Amino acid sequence: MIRQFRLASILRTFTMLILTAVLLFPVLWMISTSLKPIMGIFSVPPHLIPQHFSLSGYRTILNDSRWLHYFYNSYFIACSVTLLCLVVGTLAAYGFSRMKIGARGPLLYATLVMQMFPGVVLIVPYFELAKTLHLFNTYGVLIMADTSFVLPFTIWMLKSYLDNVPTEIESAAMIDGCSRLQAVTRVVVPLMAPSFVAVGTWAFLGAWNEYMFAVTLTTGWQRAPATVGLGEFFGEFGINWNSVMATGTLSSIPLMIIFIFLQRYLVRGMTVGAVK
Amino acid sequence: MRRRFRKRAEGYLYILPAYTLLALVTGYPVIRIVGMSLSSFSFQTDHTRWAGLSEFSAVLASRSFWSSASITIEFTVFSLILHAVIAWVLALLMYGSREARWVTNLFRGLWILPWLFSTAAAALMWGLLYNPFGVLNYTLVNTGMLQEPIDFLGRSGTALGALVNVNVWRTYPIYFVLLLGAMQSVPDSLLEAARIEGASYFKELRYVVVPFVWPAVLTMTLLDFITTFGHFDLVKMMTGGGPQGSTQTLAFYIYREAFLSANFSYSAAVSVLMFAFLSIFSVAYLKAYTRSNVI
Amino acid sequence: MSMHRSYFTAGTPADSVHWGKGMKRILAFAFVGVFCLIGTFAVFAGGQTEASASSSGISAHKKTHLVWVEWWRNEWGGGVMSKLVKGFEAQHPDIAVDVIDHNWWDTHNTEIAMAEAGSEQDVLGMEGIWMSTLDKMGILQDLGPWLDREGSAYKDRFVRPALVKYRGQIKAIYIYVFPFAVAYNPPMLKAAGLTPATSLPELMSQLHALTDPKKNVFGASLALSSDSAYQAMMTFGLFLAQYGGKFENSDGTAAFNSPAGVSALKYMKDLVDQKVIVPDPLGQSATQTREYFAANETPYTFDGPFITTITKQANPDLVPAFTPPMRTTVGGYMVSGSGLSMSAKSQHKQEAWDFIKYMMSDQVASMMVKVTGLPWGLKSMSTDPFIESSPVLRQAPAMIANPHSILFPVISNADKVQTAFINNIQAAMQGQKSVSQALDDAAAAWNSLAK
Repeated sequence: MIRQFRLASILRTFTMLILTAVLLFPVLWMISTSLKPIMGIFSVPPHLIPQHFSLSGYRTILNDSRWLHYFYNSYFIACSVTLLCLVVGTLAAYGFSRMKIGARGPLLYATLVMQMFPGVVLIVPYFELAKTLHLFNTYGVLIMADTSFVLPFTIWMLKSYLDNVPTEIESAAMIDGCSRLQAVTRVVVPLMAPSFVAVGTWAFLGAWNEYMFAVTLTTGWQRAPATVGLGEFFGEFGINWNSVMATGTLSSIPLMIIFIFLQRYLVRGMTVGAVK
Repeated sequence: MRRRFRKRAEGYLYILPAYTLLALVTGYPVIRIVGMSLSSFSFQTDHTRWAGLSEFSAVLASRSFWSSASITIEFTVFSLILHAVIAWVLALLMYGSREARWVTNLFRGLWILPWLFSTAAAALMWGLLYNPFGVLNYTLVNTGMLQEPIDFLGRSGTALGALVNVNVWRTYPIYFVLLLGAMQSVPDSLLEAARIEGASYFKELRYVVVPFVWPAVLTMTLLDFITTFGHFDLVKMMTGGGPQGSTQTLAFYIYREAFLSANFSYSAAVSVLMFAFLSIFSVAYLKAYTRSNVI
Repeated sequence: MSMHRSYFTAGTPADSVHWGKGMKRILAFAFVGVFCLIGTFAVFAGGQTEASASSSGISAHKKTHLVWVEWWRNEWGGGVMSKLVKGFEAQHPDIAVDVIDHNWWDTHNTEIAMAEAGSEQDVLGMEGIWMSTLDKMGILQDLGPWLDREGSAYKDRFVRPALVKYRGQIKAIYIYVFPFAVAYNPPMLKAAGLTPATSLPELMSQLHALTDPKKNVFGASLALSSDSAYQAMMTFGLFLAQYGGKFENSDGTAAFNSPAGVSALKYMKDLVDQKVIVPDPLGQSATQTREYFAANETPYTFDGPFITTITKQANPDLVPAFTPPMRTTVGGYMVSGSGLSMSAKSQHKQEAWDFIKYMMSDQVASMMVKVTGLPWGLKSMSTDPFIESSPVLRQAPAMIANPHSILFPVISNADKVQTAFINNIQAAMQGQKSVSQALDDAAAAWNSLAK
């Protein structure tokens, strides 16, 4: 019995290892290619570990001043969206969770629907909006566009988290003489910290990885985020795959850092709200 | 009297900033696009005129619209199926796992990794892999599965599948994590009861876990359908509509008509139709499942 | 997980104990603050950024900003671009050039988007196939009067194909005009003991000799994917010119479904069927065919002189060459170019015209020929020393002047015509249609859309 059990366990672990290797292969290949010299990219036979290491890919990209702008734009937009949505979303989540709101049901339902909105339906009116308000090719319009799909999610997730936070603590604080505001800032918000990390990370990633609005509403490196820059490689005249992969690796490094340190929160953030 | 009013109003005040913002960034554009779909702009006269349903009839009469629609459905259904398969396999592998905590955390972490990459980065990675001179073709040819290298993104038979593959690779982690979370929140009491009654691993799975997670699965599937249906990024980046239009999803069609052919009203009409379809679909879906008291 | 359990109590909306003044104030602030935040982003980062993105320093007087939308930065390199811009700005200290660059595809999208959004753009990088949509939007300025104002001698500097007419008006000036011909990799041919082919049939037999699938070497490659409609049409046009055909009659109707056209498309089909090209041509884009050539995987390729630009970046040791004059039945070539247009909605037309003149000046021409490996659109190119010394460019002026050479026509509904063309070519390659049927269908599409 025990022997069977152990066999199953070993088999399971083995399968998990194989799956991991298969699933992560593209990432490894990207990093590997970024370290190859141009002639070695399509070598026959292909090597996962480069035969000759070369940093020419990285050098080409880092010499291109546009990429600094692309990355800066991505950070600025993503940070702004995250900040905006967390502040506004927390207020709304608190309202839904703790206050009497008559239209609560329909509003929440609408929020859920908005969360699932296919963004493509909005690119044409956003374009017109940008044109009318002279916001074409600005940070503002991209922040607005990203907010349209990040905010509903933020509200929903924060509200779900808040529902699970007992009200006794804030009631106690208010009885002790705090106004509701003080109760919120001193007691509730600190309690919500893990969800802020989770929801904030998700919001940041959502805005960081956004492509469609960015590509339609910006005209160049001045305002375009890194996703647009990456997307341009496909149409380019002559692809140097090693610099392309170097760019891919560089643009993913911040995400991987977030991931390593905040993985727990990410998962928690995903599961708290979704499981009813 | 005033006290009650204040109490009610206070809640609304909290949600006011968020919903004003949403009205501006979502509500207003939706209204605009309906307006745009019902009007028609002429460059010659620089004038917008009311066009009624003429754009809509043009859309419905267009062959490329219907082919885009069917391609989108194909893309979505295949993605959904693969999402489900991968999510279940991974979740099941992890669920009953008796490894040390750090091991499962490590695996779970690694399995989530693809989701962190932007679609653009994923497109680049897979673009390299799909290259006829790339490692994928090399392996397939050398192991004899293929006679000669295939440019996956280039032939109409394989291009859509190639895109589905990239999309699934990037997005399966969401469904994996949601499913795993659902599985892990099965109350211990139910599992205990099943074990006491002598249920084997599979029986436990089938009669306790699966029914419990089913509502979450259904909701996830709806979410998955809607988000995948509107997919744009990979098509724009990797195939531009694809060999002979074989990867032209509705989202790309909308983009192309607006930004390549400058037919904005036409594009707006397609958007409205798409939105209408998804709304009707969601309502019907939810009605069907809430009626059977599953969700 | 256990943390969740302990917190698992359904949150009940608490009654407010008291609604303090503090709360009212804070909510008001939050509300106002949010709007200020949005407003700040919108205003601070708002407005058309082209003017504010200028790299020139703060000067005593205000400079005129000229917006140039182009794709050449990826081809010529950032260094050349800034040299060009600085050269112009030195001659015109009151003008600052703001460059907006993208890859080739996205440039067209951007021009349309900017036109639609009312964003200022003054000088537009232009391809013949882009002109119809932009003209429909009223963006292209008629350059005829501007040229006339310079005098007839000025107009005479240009080679005929460089002054691009659409619907009777000159709407673009090709800064470079190039032949599309057969290029080869000299070391690879030498290693195989071959001299460059001088006719299409000879080319076919050489391709057979050079193809070895096991070593991943194929004679040539064809770009026949759906987004390579342009390259595919150029390649077809090359074969068409060699067989003595042409694209359109003088009234604009299709002429490519003639017997010459059938021979041309059949030749293309033979390349595919006899497997002397990289497999799966329907999957390949122009980018890939150039990659293969640069990576020494195909000794021959069908392209224009910018093949040298690519190979320079990827494989500096490779110096490609055009074959000596090829003559199948007659021996013409496909000719095309890319250039600049002026926006009809520009607020700075004089400055834009100055810039175009600068780009077409003799000094820029001789500099750019060396950098880009492309013949500039001027008659003086036929005596340019660099061109005469270059193996790939030496024949270019003659190829362009060849009476049988076909200029790629500027057509309306370019997008749809190209789609019809590439669909038919692909159908013929896959055997779904006969070669003549495919050409007739493409001609029908041409006649209804292109004129």
